[in-house]
Amino acid sequence: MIRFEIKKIFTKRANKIGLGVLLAALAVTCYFAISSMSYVDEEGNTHTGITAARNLRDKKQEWTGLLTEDVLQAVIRQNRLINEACPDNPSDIKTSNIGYSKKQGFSDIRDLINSGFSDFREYNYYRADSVSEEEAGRLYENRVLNLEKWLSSEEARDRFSEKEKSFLISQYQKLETPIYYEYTGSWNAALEYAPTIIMLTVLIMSFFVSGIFANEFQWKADSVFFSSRYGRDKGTLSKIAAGLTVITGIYWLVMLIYSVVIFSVSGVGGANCVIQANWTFWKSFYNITYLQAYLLTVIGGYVGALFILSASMLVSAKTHTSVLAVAIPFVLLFIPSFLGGFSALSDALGLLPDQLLQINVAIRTFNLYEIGGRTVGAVSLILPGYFILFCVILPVLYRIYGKTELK
Amino acid sequence: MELQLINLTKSFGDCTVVDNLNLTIANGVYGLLGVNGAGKTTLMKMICTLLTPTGGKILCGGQDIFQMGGKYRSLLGYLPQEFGFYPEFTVKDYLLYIAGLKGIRPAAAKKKVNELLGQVGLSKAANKKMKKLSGGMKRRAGIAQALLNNPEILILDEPTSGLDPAERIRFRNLISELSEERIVILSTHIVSDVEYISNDIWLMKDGRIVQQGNLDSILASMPEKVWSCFAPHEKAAKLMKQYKVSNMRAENGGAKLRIISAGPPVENAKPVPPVLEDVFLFYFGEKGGDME
Repeated sequence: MIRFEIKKIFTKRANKIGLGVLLAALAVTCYFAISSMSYVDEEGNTHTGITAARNLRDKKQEWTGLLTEDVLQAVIRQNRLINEACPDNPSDIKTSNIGYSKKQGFSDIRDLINSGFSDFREYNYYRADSVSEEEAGRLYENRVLNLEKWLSSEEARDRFSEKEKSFLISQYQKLETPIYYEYTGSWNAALEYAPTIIMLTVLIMSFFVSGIFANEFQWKADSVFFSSRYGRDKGTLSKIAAGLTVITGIYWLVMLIYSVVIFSVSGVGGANCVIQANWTFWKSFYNITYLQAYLLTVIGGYVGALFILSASMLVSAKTHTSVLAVAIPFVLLFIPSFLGGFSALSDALGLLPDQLLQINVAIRTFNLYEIGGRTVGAVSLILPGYFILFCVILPVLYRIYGKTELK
Repeated sequence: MELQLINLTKSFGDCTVVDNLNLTIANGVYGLLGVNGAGKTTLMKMICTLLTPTGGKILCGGQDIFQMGGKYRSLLGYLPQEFGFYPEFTVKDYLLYIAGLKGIRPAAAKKKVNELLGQVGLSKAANKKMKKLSGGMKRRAGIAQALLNNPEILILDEPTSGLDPAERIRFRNLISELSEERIVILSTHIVSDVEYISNDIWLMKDGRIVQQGNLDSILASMPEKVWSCFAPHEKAAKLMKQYKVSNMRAENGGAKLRIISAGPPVENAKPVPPVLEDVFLFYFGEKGGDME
């Protein structure tokens, strides 16, 4: 019966078009992700594409290793020499680019120095140019000091409780230093574009699953369905199973293709680096590796897809129409964007299901909650929380659809 | 097999659609006649567990059908008035899917589907998409799905609508063949279908069974007689307003009328034997015009 339910979904013309759109979206997202890894050659020309990504990787891999004081000093030294040879000049882009081409091997480490020596809420791209070799060793210490300074600032003083402040500081202190550095371009690209493809997949899948329950009514096939022996039990279960199979199958297929395409371009090197090895995640209090961050992102996306799309199926089963059901994911994913301007709602917004589809953003955000006397980050709550809610929706869905009356 | 309807009532808000029905239904073919809105479809939906009664109960072999759940529905075959289907499925796929819903194992389902496709004359259309079938073919597919589980209780709501005369005869014969060891409840506007195949006829009005019995007793139940007469046009028009006229056929200079009346409506009127359509008109009055 599950086979027939899946067949019902994919024999619909609109859903066939939806699959095509999803494949096109996947191709475009992969293209942008790969293009984000740009390489500047010795003549200052910028290249994108597969070869460029590999050249960039080769260049950066020369700096693989622990970011000790010696390494940081070497970066500052080289940076200074390059600046002297090719001074950064806004009116001479070519020379600036040639200078960057020489720096790009250690540009990630330079970015970390920029982050570590800028104020907490600032990022000064030229900060590394003024850091002395003697200061370089204070990078990790600065990271904690900057946080402490910011937490006592007017901006953050009342935003966090003392317990939350201690939690953040202790998480920062727990980061093992010196950080091990390896080129993580593929991981960064994969993480950056994952929310785009995850959201598109969820939105397109909402068209697939919203009809599973409602179409019986739209096609007027409901009377035969519910008067059959198993319509109200196994038939309903097979609809739920078909929905979950479609969500699971399509989601993981999309993520598999996405991951294989991106990682095949410049490898999976850097999987075991902590995410703080790149300036994007320098301030994150989640002490996890790139592999863990990526797994969290795709698993979070999956849990989000399960929750959002099962809510969509629930609405379709209750209202007997797919129109409202299709709207559910759009509402759940886009309403938080409209409410984002209200700072009073920031705690609540951090717990909304859209966060599951963009865990790479959530792990950069200071959304903290106290549960049973323990302080935890949003990710630790939303991942199990929405999985439990998803598990609660399923029996409700089964019961509501199984008890349907046809008036 | 026996179904019992005990004080069965269904209301939607203030409107009572089925009103305190009490019936005992044993094996045989039951024809349910009534105008639109009489409560026929609601009654059938309750018998098919698609609607729960507001009051009363339906027992099958002494057990409440809503408590029996799937066990009861395994005895049931239902062809709804508005028969919907999955447009992109082939006829065969559609029947195999419904067979799955009815708990028929795949191997047995394949055999049964092929057998029924032959019985309803759809063997050649087995691999055609449902949406490509003609109205009559869709109806036949609907009949096939209702028969898949060899049901002991067969509920057919307007089963012959959309069928051509030859198909209707074929269908009536099929129902007659099937009726021996099962309950068949047939709701229709087509009075002749009921006349031909029903052992028992129920006339339903405003949620109640107003008359019940075999064809002879139903015909005999009418307290008025049926008269046949010829009248000029002007007179015919007056008679139409004055009496219940079950048929009028224009003839030279006037019309031949079939009138239901206690006494002769005109001098030259001759009594004729009543048919079910006359009874239908007698009980349902002008609303009887809804019948086909």
